[in-house]
Amino acid sequence: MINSLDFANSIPLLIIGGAGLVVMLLETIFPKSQKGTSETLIFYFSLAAIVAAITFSFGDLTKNFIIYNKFIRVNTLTSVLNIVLLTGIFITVLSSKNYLQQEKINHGEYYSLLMFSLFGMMLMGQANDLIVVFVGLELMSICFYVLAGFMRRKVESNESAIKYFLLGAFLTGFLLLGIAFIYGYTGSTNYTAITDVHPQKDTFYLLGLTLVFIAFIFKTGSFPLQMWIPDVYQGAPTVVTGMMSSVGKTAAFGALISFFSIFALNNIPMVVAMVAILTMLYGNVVALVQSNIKRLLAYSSIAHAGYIMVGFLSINSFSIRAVLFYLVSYILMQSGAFIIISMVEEKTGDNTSKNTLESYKGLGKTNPMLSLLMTIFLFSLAGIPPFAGFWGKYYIFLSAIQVNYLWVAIIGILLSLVGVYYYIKVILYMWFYEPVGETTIAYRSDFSYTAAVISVIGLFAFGVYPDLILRYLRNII
Amino acid sequence: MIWNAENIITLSFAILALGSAIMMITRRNPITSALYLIVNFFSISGVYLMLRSQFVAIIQILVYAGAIMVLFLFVIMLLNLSGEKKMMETFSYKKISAIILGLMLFASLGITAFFAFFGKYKTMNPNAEIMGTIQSVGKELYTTYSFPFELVSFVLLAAIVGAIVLAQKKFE
Amino acid sequence: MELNFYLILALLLFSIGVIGVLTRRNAIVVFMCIELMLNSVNLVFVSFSSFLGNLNGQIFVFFIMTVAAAEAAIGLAIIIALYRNKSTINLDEINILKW
Repeated sequence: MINSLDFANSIPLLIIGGAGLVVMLLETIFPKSQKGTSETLIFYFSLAAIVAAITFSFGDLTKNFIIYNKFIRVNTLTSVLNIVLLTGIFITVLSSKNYLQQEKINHGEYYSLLMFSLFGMMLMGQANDLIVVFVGLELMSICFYVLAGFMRRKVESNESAIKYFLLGAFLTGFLLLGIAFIYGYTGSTNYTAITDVHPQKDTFYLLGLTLVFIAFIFKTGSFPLQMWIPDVYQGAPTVVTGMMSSVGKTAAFGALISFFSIFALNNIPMVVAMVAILTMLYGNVVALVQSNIKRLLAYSSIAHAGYIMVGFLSINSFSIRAVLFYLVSYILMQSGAFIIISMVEEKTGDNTSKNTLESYKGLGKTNPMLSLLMTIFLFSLAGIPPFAGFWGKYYIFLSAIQVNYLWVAIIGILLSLVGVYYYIKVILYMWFYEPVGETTIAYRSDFSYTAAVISVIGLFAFGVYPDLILRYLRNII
Repeated sequence: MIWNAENIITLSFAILALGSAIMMITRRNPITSALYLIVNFFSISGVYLMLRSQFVAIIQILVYAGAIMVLFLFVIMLLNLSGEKKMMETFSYKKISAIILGLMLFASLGITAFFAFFGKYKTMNPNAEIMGTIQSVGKELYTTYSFPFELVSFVLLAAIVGAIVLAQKKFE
Repeated sequence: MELNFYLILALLLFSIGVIGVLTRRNAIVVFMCIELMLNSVNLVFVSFSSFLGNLNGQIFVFFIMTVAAAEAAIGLAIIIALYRNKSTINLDEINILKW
């Protein structure tokens, strides 16, 4: 039975779920003539709800409960994940307002879908039952399909949505089959019940785990199932791409951490190592030849999924901390870079955004502030100190060395050096080339600037003083 | 296997399900495919009845055949689609490799499942008959599973909002 | 009938669904094949539930059905939006973004 204690321990979840509903209703209360008012109200309401949820999540950091009839866990890991996800969506909301107006897709539904997807992502991280993982994953994915197709007049956006949808639904089938196998072997879908059964390493059971792992490989965009990433990311609205590539991936990795630690998947390091290495290789090598900045960052996000996967070689308290640190820095730098892209999008006559690398030539001369921010994000993505991206990579590779996978760490470091090339290329384009033609900035937005500056401050602070994050991660298992 | 009435009925439902599934993926016309899929859903519902899960069987027909497939048929007719080219006309290596891949998938899943449960679970659990009733399913769903039951309403809500955003004719 | 009969039936249906997804080019038919896959998973759940004497599997089936209905609404909306702009839902012609 659900009691009041359950509600008291899940305030961030309740706030975000309720905020989604309220945002949806706020849009309908106001008449069409007052669209501006309702838009502003929804925008500030969403921000306030997220800030409140972050505040309450900090209060949950020391808790360790299993609530709602053993369906939801609240502990340090889930609270940290919640804070990370909430921060990512905060940055997304902040950077969306002016972009949506510019693209004439400023509907209130955008914010309610964003809230619903955030609700799903938080559920995935906090789940203590495979039903909740499934429902949370679907809630997140359904909102993502719609958000990817949000520019419904544009063919690119439609194509992006249908590709994402068909592949996502296809992989849902595999996820469910895996859950069915786990259920058939253990007789339950609840994490607590499954760990009580102590399932043997039977082939059938392992097959079930593998099928679920395959579905997560798809959601995180790792090697054999990464082909959808560049297409979907290129076609979706740029702010949505920034959100999917940073927050969406973080949610999938967060759920994967609990999945790995609950089901004790420590006996498949070779599989994880191959997935990680091939993902890093594919992402970094194909990114070298890209000429579209959104595609380039899509491939780079594949490479980053590979780095994070290295942390899953052996799940222990150190590697969980390393993965979480990486996710914090990744969410800041990836969504930051996409904020800049959304502002630079070059406009042509037929109103299709071009986003070529060419349009970044000479940006440093026309828009030094924007270029400076972009340079910091790219430096951090490349793993150059003193930004947080460096420490993320450092801890990830250190966790691999600690469990005697030095060779994986060496391959990873070499491949991340390959990655430096294409980040530096963009930076060189910005600062050392003359502007080509008319480099117009699509729009100027104080909100987007604020979001980008918040990300930069975070990257710099965590880069100079990583203990700011690590102190919260000490209590993890 | 004993050739009693129950097993014969189960087997015929199974054959009907497999046959309609194969017909569904090989027909050119989307409407024909959709109709075969409805036949498939009915026969799976029959298999559920043989598994003593009466409530799931009823909901299977109401939700899948009654709601989801009607939606599919509406959309197919709305879009006025022409049939695809015949399977044989577009016979390519891609398709052969897809079929081989599917068969390999079945082989690996099927063999593992077959040997995992070989000789076990010869008969259904005696509780199955009581378990499948609306009463016991409803009781479980509204007590133990009340939390995910609430969550799933969010999925439906998000789907409604999303469908309106994407498909409404005039959306300002 | 023993449990293996139902499992093999469900996995055969699942594989037919996978083959359909990989070979068909019409977006709606591909989506119908995905529905077939979800149905076969339901069959796995129900047969485990009946043979284990454990209700969790049947409950899970209801969640899968609800989510399948939600996915159907979204999927068909996406297909309609695509058809309005492109007048085709053949996956081979969806090629502005390279696959």
